[in-house]
Amino acid sequence: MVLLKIIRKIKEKEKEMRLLILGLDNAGKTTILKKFMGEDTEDISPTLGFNIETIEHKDCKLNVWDVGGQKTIRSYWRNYYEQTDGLIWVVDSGDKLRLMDCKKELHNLLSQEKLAGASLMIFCNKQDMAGALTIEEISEVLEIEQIEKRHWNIQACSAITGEGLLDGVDWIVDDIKSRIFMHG
Amino acid sequence: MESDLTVEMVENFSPEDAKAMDKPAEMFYCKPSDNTYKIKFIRYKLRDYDSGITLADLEHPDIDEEQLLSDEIPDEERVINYKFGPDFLDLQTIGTQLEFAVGDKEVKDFLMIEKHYFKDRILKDYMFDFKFCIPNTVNTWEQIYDLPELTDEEKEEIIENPYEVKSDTFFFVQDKLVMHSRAIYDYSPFDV
Repeated sequence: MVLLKIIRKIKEKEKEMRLLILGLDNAGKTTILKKFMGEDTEDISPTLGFNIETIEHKDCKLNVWDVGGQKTIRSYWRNYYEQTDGLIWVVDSGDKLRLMDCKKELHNLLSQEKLAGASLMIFCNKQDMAGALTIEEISEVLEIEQIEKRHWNIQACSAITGEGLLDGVDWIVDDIKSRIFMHG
Repeated sequence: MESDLTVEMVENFSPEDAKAMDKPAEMFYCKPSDNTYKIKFIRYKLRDYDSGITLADLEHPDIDEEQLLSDEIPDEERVINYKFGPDFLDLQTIGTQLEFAVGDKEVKDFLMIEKHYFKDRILKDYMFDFKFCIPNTVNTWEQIYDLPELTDEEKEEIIENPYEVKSDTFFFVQDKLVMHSRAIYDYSPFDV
């Protein structure tokens, strides 16, 4: 199970780690979270508030927050920035029409002071769907090469098949660990 | 201890007081009408994390605002009874999922403190900071954790003493107590 592998990586030094999953509505944030947790990914309805998963293992704790992405509630995202160690930004790789929206929201997020320093993993979700954009195409539109002063990475994935999820989370947890180790 | 508890203490019951508690409450520290944020539990799900099997899935009855905030319900009826059976004590890792709705006000600095006791001993305690709830939303929180390790003697004692396992859950909004849930647990064998 993905989750146990993650929690085992968090050793005494960190104790608690907090990940925040954001992205436009219908990107697949909740499906990714459910897949991590070994839960049923069918019949997921749009998230209006949040879904939180807390996993305790020995003395370590991992908190993952998935906050709804609909336009009307994006203004509330800022209430969840504090103490975020890692930001997971989810992109619907098939939603070409809203990719510019997606870019705007991502860059807006990265300019937030409270998220300064948080590691960033961009998940290009729905790769299992026909016509999905590749990570190269998405990287270019989102202009991720321009992201400065932050550790970031981009990963193709499918929340339905689970492909790419573990690699992405592995990277972000390792990155957070190395930052905490260096500065802590 | 309860007899020493003055009305004023209960009125000012703080997160610090909740953290310091070392035995189950014998009364409710707030009234249903103190829930001015109209926080409403919708569903409670319990699963065995190792097998993925759902052990309990309780949907709370759909009640209207008047019923939610009514102080008319006798205290005995506000205490929740759980009957889990003896096998539950052999589980290792469980996931408890809480689904709740909030009313039309923003809920800031939303904090939960929960403690489980067997007789006057603390079995487990935890705290969770929900930070903020968006008005008129439904939210979920799942917590996955290892159950406290118990010796066979302790398990036997718990099984033989139904409803001696008790829990208190306190919900604070900006350090003010808005909800207090009390539950009691029975692990004795189910009637066949």
